[in-house]
Amino acid sequence: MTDADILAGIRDVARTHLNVEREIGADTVLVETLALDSLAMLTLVAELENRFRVCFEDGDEAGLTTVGDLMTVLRRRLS
Amino acid sequence: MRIAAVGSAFPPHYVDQETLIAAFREAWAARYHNVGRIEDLHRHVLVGGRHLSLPLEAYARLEGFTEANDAWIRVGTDVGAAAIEDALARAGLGVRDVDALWCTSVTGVAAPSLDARLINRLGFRSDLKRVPIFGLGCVAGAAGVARAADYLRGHPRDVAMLLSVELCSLTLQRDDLSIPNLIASGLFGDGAAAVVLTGAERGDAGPAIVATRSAFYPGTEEVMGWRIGASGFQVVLSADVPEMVRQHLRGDVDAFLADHHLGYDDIAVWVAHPGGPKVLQAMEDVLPMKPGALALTWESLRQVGNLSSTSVLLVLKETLARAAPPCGSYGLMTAMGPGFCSELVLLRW
Repeated sequence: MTDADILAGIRDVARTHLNVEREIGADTVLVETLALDSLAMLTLVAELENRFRVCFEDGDEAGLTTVGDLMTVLRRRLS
Repeated sequence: MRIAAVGSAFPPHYVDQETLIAAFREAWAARYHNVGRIEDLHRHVLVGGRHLSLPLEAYARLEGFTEANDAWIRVGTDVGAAAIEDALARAGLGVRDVDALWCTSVTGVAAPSLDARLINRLGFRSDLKRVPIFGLGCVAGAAGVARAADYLRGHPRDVAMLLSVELCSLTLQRDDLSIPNLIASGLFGDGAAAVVLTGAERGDAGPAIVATRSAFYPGTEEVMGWRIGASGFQVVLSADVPEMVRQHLRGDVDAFLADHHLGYDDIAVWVAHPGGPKVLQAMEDVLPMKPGALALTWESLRQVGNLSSTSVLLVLKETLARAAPPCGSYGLMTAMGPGFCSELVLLRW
């Protein structure tokens, strides 16, 4: 799966489950720019697990600041 | 005004949290790839088990809001009556001694309201003043005590009661597997509590209600509440609830205590609503309470979960069951709820 596929999946999940309509790139900051609170972050991660059929592991969520961080975790769990 | 006694009652079906998780697992697995994450949501609320209005297997057969609300009326009348009888027995009073009854719930609706049905069931006097409350949610335990105290200020020879009935399990939205609904379905339980309050001229025993304080936070309607529709009550829950504690509660308590020339060291007893682990942690972070001040609140959460307006009254009941603090000691009852808002009740032993 390419980075473009992963980014497209994140965009789709954010739009479908969190009503995020703005453009998302790797440098988009999750909390400030997308205004995701802790419940929304939990929803985002759970729905990404559904979308990509992966399970985040201990520590994966600790350093999530940007969409690029999410892509890094997903890339790792997909490999 | 004094709090003469608190009673409680629960429906008979107590289910431990792991059994509930096992019962939910199949539905969760059909929706979530990482079902362990969802199971952990139910473990992280630090609830050991909940009383349920119906046997666990009966929930799958509940069809829509009408059946759930009918069950709320039936079970609510039963546990409401039992809680009132328990409270009156502890106060050494009879049902015909009661002059006014506040009845609060946010988990079902009825007209005539539950209090009317309880007049028929228990034989209250026909001149009983009734005040049904809906919509205050978790704050209604403390707010109900405060409003009953307001009444007794003008009727110092009267007996007032507050009844709280919350059957949260009957609001379960089985088809809503959103994260907020999953958290709510792990946290909330069922039960009832009743408080007997007596006017100052009666000379009864029990902690006195010195003063009360309501605080409303403008522009926070979306923090918590219900979206009410054909399927019943769908929870609205944001991550801002602990933030409400951090932003507002300290200032509210500071001002309330200062108005009565008190400081935190003067508060010997805290009677706090067990909203959930993050709410209680926020309280412990921002309020300079003595270590272990919220022990009874944490224990109530562990034993029966969050029962909305009923919970703070269960903590009050446990507080009264313990050895009374020295005469003259102060206590503070606190609860927060939809609005968003808080209610503070200053007690003195």
